[in-house]
Amino acid sequence: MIGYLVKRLSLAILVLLLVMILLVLLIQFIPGDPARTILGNHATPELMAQVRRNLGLDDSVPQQVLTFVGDALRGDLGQDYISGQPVTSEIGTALANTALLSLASIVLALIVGIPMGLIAAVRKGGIIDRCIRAFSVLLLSMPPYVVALLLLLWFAVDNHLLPALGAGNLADPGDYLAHLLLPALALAVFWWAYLARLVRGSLLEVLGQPYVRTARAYGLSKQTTLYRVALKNALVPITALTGLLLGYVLTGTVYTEVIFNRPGIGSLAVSAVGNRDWPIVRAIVLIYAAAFILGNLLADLAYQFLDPRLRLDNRTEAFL
Amino acid sequence: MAVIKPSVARDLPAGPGAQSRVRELLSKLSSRPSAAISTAVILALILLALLAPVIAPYDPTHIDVYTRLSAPSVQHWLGTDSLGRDNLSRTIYGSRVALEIALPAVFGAFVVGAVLGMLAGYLRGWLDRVLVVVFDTLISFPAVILGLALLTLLGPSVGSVIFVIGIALVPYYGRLVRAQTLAQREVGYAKTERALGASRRRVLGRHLFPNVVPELLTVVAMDVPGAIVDEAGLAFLGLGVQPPTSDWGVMLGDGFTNIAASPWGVVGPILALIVLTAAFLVLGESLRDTLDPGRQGKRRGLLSRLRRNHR
Amino acid sequence: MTTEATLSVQDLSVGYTSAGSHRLALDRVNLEIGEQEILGVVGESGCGKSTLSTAIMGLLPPNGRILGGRIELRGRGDLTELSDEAMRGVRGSEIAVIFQDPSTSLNPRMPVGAQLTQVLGAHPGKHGSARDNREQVISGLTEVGIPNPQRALGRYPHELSGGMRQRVMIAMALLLDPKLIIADEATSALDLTLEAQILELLLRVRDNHGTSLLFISHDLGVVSQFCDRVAVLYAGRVIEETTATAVLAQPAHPYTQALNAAVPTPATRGRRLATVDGRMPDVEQPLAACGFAPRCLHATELCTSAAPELHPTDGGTARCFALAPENAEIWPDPPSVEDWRTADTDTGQGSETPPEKAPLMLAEDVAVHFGGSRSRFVPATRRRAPVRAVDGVSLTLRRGTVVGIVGESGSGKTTLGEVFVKLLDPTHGAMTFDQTDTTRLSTAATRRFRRRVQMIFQNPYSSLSPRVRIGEQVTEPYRIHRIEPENRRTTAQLLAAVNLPASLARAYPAQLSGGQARRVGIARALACEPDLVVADEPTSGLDQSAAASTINLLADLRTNRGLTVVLISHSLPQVIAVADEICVMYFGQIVERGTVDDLITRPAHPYTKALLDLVPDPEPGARLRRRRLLVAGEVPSPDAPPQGCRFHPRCSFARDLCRTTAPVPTPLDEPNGAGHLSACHFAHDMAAGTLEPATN
Repeated sequence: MIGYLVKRLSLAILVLLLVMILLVLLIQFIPGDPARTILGNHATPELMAQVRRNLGLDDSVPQQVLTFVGDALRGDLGQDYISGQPVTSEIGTALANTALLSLASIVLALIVGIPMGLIAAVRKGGIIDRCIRAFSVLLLSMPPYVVALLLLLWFAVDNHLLPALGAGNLADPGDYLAHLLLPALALAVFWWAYLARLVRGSLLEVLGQPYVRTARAYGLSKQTTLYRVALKNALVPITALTGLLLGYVLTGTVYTEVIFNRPGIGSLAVSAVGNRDWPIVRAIVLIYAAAFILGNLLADLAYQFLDPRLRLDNRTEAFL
Repeated sequence: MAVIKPSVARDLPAGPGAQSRVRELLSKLSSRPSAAISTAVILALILLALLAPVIAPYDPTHIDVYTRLSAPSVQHWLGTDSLGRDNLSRTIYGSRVALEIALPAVFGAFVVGAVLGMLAGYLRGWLDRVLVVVFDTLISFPAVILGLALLTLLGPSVGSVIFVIGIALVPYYGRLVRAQTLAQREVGYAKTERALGASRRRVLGRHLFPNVVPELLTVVAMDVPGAIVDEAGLAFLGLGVQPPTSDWGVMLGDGFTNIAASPWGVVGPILALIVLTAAFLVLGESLRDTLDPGRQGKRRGLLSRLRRNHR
Repeated sequence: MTTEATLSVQDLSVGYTSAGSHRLALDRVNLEIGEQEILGVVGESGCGKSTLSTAIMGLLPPNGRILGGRIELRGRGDLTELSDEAMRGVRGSEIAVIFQDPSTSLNPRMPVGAQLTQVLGAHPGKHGSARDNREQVISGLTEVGIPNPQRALGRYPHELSGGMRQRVMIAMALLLDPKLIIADEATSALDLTLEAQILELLLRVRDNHGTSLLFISHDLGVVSQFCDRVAVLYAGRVIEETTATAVLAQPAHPYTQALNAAVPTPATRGRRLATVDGRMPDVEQPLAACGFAPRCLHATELCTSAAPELHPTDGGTARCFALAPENAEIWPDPPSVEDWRTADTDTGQGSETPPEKAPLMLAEDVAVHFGGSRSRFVPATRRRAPVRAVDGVSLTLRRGTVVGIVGESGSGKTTLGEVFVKLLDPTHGAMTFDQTDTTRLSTAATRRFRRRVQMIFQNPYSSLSPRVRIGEQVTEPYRIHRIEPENRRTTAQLLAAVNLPASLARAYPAQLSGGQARRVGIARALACEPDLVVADEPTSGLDQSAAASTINLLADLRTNRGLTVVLISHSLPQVIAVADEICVMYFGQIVERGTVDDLITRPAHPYTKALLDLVPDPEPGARLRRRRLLVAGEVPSPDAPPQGCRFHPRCSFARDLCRTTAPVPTPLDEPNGAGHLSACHFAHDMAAGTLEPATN
């Protein structure tokens, strides 16, 4: 376990480092003056000079990498050259909004998706199972921005049932949650369908395993066998996929924040692209990548921890 | 009264092989209505893209300010957009852009990924290690996020959108092909071939290529709708294809801006995206069930779908 | 037996329905198990024996249904009438099952202790406080011979060895002191020595707890040695029911006889094994004929016109017309085992003394080590020891002989086989083939070598490419070695050489039966007329008849073509049936080598002697349980070989010398014992049979 932990952790750090290096080098890969690449053809010489200074483009490339990585590790992601503010302070609240949205949609995805799969597996071949299967094809076919647009149309434009725009007031939890619900829902429904299928398949596979037969053969009731033996075993492999759930949700925040006009790093990045504000875009891309790397790391470690067969590679010696 | 079945060879799924396999597959697929319908939908879409000028009722760029944001009518089945252009015609033309971007992105990525993956799996050693880390690094950028960075620098154009979507797919294909290449070295018959005296190149050529690549191609084809979804998403955000192109994402963006005035602008592209994705999804599932009834298939299918959608 | 049976199955019929088709898995089965009795149920796969155990437990799958009959458990009445909840109370507490594969039958993500406690928790009337439960679980684990049970409680199944896992299953079965234990292929996945240990344990359980046992197995030998009575199932019907001794010594039903004749034994060595054509039929409704008639040597029109009744035999009853007194005119002589052995009985075994034949391949002090840190940067003390899969093997293969290599899993026999065919090169030692060093071959020479030396792999299906037609695969060696057309044989010829029809050339591997796929593998190996063929467990996964014909085929190749064959097998009787010379491997080393006669009559190593003792013997009174040389414990971890003799921790003869000094193979100076070697300090005493087991 320790061996794996060290190995997996160092891989994550290495990848994160490479991500940072790549983000610095990206400008260099593109032919032409980097400052012009960033600002486009209509930039004034003053602005270009400012950008050069700001990004340290006059330094040697290795120096730029060192500066960026070193600054990033100290929590300094550069300066917004439009407002002159440090990028971190520009991003601050937006990041909190996005993180809360991601978290909320993951929770929503799990608390609905897993029971759906469970019911479908238990009622295999029944009407509920078939409905879930058919419904899931529809949900799986909808891109996150389509779901968000439909929810916006239905709940906010037509019926005014829920607040649709903005993030609400964090000081008023009720208001904030009401604003959170639609965007989180938009990101969760895909995973309801997805998890329902995954859990159903995994559970049915486990239910066919000899150890489930053993549990029944030793008088464990159907309920105990289902929940204490089968479901536990069926959910473990699914933890390995939660990293991918995170990837979907992260991408989705960009769309939902734009559609629901939420101040978050996704919508911030989109408007920064419009302003060609590279330091902001670069910082946000780095945050997304880091979140993705961290999420996958956690998912892998959770899987290792939950599966005893993988957990104990150091003392698997047959014991007599 | 007595019923004894003769002791003939078991009624197993026929062995897969060259042409008979394709024929077998087709006959099995055609017996599934869902597969037939989804294939028809996909073919119809391709036809729509090819024959857009013939089918579309209007020129998609024809501006008519007197009928701005109109609701569906006999003249305009899906209404008109903020400049009075016909939504139906724009949706039909949108399929062209979608395929123009998705096809080169997906298959280009597969070629690059397959070559890198095979090199890694075949040569192993330091190249393998380097490529694995490179794949891991690239995978950390979901396509849209990578799009944010690259499109800021490259500027939006059809070429750069293809590049962005393609490069996000490369590490997945690279990993997949690498894993298959490694696995092929260890299969029973690969070992047998070696014992018979066949060279490793012959083993890879005879088994990796014919056994693995066709199946991977079906997996890869299933990634086409995902690429279209990404393309439209980028365009919707204003990062991809730019107006006035008739693109589903561009249409969604325009419809979204005017959604309070008329919701009809988004209907066409939404339907197109859902129908297309659903058709590929259903076809993919039928293919999988037919090709591989039982084991493995399930997981691979799910994973490929996951891969596609989490970007 | 006792007055009231523990379990009595009466006229039980079970059917499965799937996708509109119906299958009758059990047809009016009658069985009775007395108190403390062990009833064996034996049959090939598909005969309905697993359905029997699931039906008794009330755990038939949703598409399975009891069509008729009763299952009476003493004190509980008819189990088929019980409610779900009442049946749940019976399971585990009154009837317990031990399944085949302990590695999948235990929950992989739950510690062993918790799994046992969970069973107690499922039967509220039978358990006490948490503390009592723990005590009960610990005492259960102790009883089945698990060392350090407190520690074992927290272990996950994968942390236990295969034998230990099966002991845990038995502990679970005993936990609530059931009346009946069903052992459903409970020892089939285990090595011979472990199987013996588990059977021993089951006998002790029976004696201590007064439990009755239903022992389900495909292995006639094991059943006959272990059980009191045996029922033979064929196509869902009990076709013979008799005593365990009679089932081997004088089986009455032709099917039981055929099964017998297909099993190699030391007594029948040198003779071809019997094979039965055809397959067991799938039955849809009760047969109005004898189900075995299409495959039976003795079948007449009578057999296909009506279903036979049970007729008394020497040990019990059998369902065959030929046994009815009124049919004495049709069958004057009752069917016998000998009928199945063909006239052409000689396998050519040992017709010439092996040492007189010229050597073809020589292995000298060959070792294969896997893994271990070899890096120079790792300090010597921190380096991980390599796994010594093969460690110091010397062996001569002589032209035109069959050399058997016998060993359990982990003995290194397959690794050694791969060294012979140069799939692996030895870590050290020398390999010589036809006077050339095979470890230093050029690419071209390796190619020529591969033409002359072939391997037949263990899994018949995976060694065939799934997408290439059989015909193409069989002739593939010709293309690999670019053999001139005039030197090639046709596909039909190649297939005919292994008794396969030419029509199979157009088939794909998945369309073949296991036996056919195996033969295709052999045909391909023979295409280039090799000098040496290494066959790795060529009968694994085959039923007895197909296994017998594969063994016959190998014997024929030696006799007719002068082929040299290395037969790698875990089954000593199988090797005895066909080999000229036998090597017994244990833990990477050859512990004994000699001609078949040497080994059978004068085993000079305790391990060989133990393996021989486990071979079923049809002699009445030679029951396994009465005389038994048990091999204790299990094969130690491969990266930590024991000091001294590697076998000593498991040897019942081990003395102090064995614990400190590793023995070297010593020749036994017997009159004709040339080549008989044993790596035992007390080889001579062992061979003479004068060595006493160690007292401690």
